[in-house]
Amino acid sequence: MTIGNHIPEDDLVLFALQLLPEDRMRQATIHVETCETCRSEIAKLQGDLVAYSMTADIVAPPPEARERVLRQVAKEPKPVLPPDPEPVPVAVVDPPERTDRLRRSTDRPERVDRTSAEPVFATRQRRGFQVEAAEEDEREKPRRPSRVPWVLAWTGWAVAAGCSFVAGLQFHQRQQIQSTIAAQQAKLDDVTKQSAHAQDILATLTAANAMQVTLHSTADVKPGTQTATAMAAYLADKGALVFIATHLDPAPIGKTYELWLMPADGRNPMPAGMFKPDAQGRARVMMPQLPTGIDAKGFGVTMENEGGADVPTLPVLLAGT
Amino acid sequence: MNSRVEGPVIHGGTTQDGQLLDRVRRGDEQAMAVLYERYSKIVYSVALRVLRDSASAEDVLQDVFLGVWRRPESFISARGSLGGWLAVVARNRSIDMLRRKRPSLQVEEVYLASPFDLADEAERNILMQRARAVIMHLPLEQRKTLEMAYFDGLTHSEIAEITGDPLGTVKTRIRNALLSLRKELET
Repeated sequence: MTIGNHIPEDDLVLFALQLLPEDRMRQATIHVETCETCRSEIAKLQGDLVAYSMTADIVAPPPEARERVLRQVAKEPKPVLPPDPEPVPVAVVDPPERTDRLRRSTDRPERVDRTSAEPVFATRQRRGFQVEAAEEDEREKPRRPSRVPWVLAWTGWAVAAGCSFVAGLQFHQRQQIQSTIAAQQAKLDDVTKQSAHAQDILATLTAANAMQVTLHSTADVKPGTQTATAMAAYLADKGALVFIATHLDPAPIGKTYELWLMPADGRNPMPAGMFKPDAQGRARVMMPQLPTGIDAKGFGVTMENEGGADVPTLPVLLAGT
Repeated sequence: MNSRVEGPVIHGGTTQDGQLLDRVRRGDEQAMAVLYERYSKIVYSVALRVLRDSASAEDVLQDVFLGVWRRPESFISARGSLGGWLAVVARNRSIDMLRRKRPSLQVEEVYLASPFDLADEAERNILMQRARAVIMHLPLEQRKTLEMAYFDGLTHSEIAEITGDPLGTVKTRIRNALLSLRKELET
């Protein structure tokens, strides 16, 4: 099962996939718990599996599924944990007998200002548990009522329970409303962003002063084949660019197409976005971040290593002025 | 240089997953709704790909998110990206359902090292495009073997039986396919 105390590489993959037979899975689990090397390799493999998961066609779940999940979540309220206590400015003066003890054991100041304050309850808690708990108990004892009519005690509990129930109900309803508002707000933000983006694209495509350029393939045209072509619409004053290409060949592994803007003043070509065509050979670059006010004399497309280049690598595959 | 769809755009500014999980731990349903909006597509898509049935995929979706609600501490930041963790958990739960197995004990014990921030939609889209491109260019037998293991949940013995390949070859193909994916995505 293991080689030199480690799980064989091929089995590590099956472990990550949870496809090892049960007995070997159990053995491997025990080993992995104590073996940093194998655990690290499995973590990498899980990272690979995450990337592979992304190859599934992305489908949005039906809206009812969301309601179902959130309804179920609402049905399973959690015990509400106390929020992290806010530091509160509080002057704590220890009783004389206790202060003397504390002074001997710690350097804690008598007064706690806001910057160094611990939460009130934490301070009390610490004192309660760490400093003379027995003394505390002794002091508390006389304060306890010796006899309390049980009816009164139970009434108090009942009132408290009733209040808690109402407060819980209100809290729950408020959470539900907030949840709905947050989800709607998130959707609205998305739609607003998409709408603004679409408007920018439309404005670039239809602007009277937009530079419209058709890019043609520089390769020899083979008879009976469709050559790659592209269209760029560019607004120099806004630095807005829309680029659409068709009939592109797939980019080889590790390579990417890169679009270049050729400034009119003769400066070096500027990178204007990387792209890879889809299965139909179509690709687009929408509103890349370009500086404003750069007049262009044309555009070109090259093939670059993944990640892009600072200067174009010849040959230029598509060009247009 | 950056383009909205194809270029390497990295958006930030969203509430961190860790903060949301902390709020979930405190019973904040609103935080749960945000996590759902962020990751339900990934979880549902992976489940649908494995199960090929929308009703079952919805069951897994609910199961996974209720798991987060009930045990947000199952995921700790040391385990890497929450989105990635959810994707892997969704796949594992789906395979369990497919094989009519009891949920794997270690289904949530997934530690992953992934450089990708799946909370960011743009980065998610880029990863999706790049991963698909790499997989499309893998040798056919590697691609099919990995698909059978990951999305169909077939063991190496079952794959070997179906394809007629030796067991060792099947294991090596799965591993090589994943390593190719890692190598290409690292460049």
